[in-house]
Amino acid sequence: MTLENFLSLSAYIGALLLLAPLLGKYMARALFGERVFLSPILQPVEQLIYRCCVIDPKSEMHWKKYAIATAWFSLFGFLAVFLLLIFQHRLPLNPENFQGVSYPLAFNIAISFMTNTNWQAYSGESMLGYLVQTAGLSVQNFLSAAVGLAILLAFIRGLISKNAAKIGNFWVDIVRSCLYVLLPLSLIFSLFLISQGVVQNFSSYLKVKTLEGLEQILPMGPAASQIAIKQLGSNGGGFFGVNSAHPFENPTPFSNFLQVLAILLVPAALVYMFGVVTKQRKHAFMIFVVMLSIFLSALLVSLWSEHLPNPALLTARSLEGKEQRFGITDSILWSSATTAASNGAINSMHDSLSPIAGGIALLQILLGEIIFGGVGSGLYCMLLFVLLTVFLAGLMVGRTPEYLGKKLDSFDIQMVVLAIILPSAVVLIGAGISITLPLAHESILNQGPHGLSEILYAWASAANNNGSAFAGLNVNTNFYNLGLGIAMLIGRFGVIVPVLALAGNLANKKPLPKSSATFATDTPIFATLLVFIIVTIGALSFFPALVLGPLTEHLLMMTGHSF
Amino acid sequence: MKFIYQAFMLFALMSLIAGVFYPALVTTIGQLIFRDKSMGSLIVLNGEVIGSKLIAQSFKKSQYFWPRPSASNFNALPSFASNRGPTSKILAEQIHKRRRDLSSAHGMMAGNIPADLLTTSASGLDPHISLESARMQVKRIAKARGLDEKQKAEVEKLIDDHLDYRQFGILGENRINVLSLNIFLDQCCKAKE
Repeated sequence: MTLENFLSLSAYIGALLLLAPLLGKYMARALFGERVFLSPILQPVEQLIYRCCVIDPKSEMHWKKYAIATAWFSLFGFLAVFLLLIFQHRLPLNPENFQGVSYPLAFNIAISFMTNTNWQAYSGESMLGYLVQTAGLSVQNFLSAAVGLAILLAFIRGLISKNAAKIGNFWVDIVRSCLYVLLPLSLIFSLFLISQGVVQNFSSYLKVKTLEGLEQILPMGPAASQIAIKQLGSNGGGFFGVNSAHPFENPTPFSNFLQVLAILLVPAALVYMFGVVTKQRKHAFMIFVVMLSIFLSALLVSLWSEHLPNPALLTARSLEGKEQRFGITDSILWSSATTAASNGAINSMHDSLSPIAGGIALLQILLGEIIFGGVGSGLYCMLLFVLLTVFLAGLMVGRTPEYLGKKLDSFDIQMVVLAIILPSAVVLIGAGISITLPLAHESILNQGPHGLSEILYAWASAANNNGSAFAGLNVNTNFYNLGLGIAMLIGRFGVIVPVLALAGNLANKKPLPKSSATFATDTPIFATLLVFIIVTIGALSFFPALVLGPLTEHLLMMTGHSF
Repeated sequence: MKFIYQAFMLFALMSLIAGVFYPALVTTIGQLIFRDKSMGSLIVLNGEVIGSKLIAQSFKKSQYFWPRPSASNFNALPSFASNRGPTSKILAEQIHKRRRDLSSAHGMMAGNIPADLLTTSASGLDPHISLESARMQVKRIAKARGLDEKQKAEVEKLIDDHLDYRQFGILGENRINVLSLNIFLDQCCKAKE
């Protein structure tokens, strides 16, 4: 690592620390219905939408109604993408005349974009027309991120309201998230990206004769508009097959800097917003510190691992699956950020990372993507761990646990545990089944312990709605398309429903005044305990699998073994 | 029923805004301000488009600078990578073979071949190589084109001129665009037929 590499990492962290409070402050107003500088332009649009949809923005919903609204809204998203994929050969804006996508793959893609996963068992440039990309996938990039934000808003209302039966209006949360946050940010971002060379057009592919006289076909398309929201909305589904490693999708180190910043920007800002809205700035600060320290530790270990010499390959630097313009540092920063958040975009091939760096990426996904995490989902999943920490601390001192003045009862803790365990169970059961099934085995590209990592990564990525992959595994098979599709559904709604139930139950409670017996959640002791709980849960659930996969591979690699 | 109507209408309206209005707006502004870049940074030579500055082309002839190896053989439809892992025997063999071929083509020690020329990129379309990788190829190109010492010095200078430094001094890595370099190479030192 050179001094320049170190400075670029510092610039990244600096930019994140600078922008998160600004955006957080803005969202604390915009998402909770207060006037912001964009209101004069956006409010008429907002009102018009409410009128067309017969929505009364002032009426609130009970948590069950909120959950049903989420389900219907997501169902329409699924159907739209599914139908666009199946019938794309009959629809306009398909200059390359791509065929309709097969049912299992269309099911997988539609689920994947509806659940904010953006798992890619397809290559955009050779399978999807422009209409599917913009009106199907791009729309879901916005809406699935908005759903994540909406659930977080409902959860926060549950925490701060007093004796309330209701937790907000889902429709309003969706509209405000899109109009006031995601759309303006994406507009600015996409223009920055075009300035760096990201393509944005609706032209047909271009056939050229190269300097040596060969034929080459250059793909085109409205990439910048989709990539902006793909990064900001923690979606991660690339316009092109190799995602942000593609020179048309991520042409320069600066476009790379902007994109990797966009991965963590909104999730980091949400922590700040949480502090403002709950008036618990010190507590939010502690959560932020926990996230940042785990992020930095993971980043440093990955960087160390990637710089280790590999006796099996004997190259000076491990550049397999990396782009020259990004090198090792920018590739590892990206792999850390994209798995900390549930983004899943890539700028290098995770399958070719060193065993420990790939293992860290896997571990961050397995922890549930709570290190900043996905838009909305990152913070609400982190708050589940906070509740668990408060609960366990309460057990230790023998007091009824309380959080932000609300006593936690057994229903609350049941919901917390359910939401934490469900995705983990799906990962372990899914990976377990795949290892025993020959037809799932055949998909493995790399032999040895790495093959296990490939399978584990696929299930982890799907069940936690990440979307990145150890892409050597051939997942465009009926088994993986359907199995991982179901994993994505459980990973998304198996968390959302308990979180909403929790929000509803918490909203009903009356806040108690702080007493001397209250476990303080704004101290370094709390932060330490939170880290301890996160690491313990992660270790208890996945340590054996991680030992058999990445760790074994690391040890074998260091002794020069190959498979 | 009203509930489902609300869900449907909201979905339809948001699709209209995010799926039609938004990309149309970005395309319009993008094409107005950054016409060339939004169209793919195309390179026109003698009135014909010969490629994009951002997309690597295959160069196999000895009189040209060679790019990094490509898992997709420079085919952009679709882009893909080798996805070979760090303990892959196949990858180790591929690297070994590339090292042998490159060292015999350039008459240099196998251990001195830069890593970027031994490994395939993430996109298969990486347009860049490192400075060392460009310098290493000068001798071979000079021989293939029959260049004298003065012309060889010009090629060396051409490389330095084409070096893209880290953006803003810190971001990314130093790199050289192979296609641009080869175009200038053709102009400065015509290959002897």
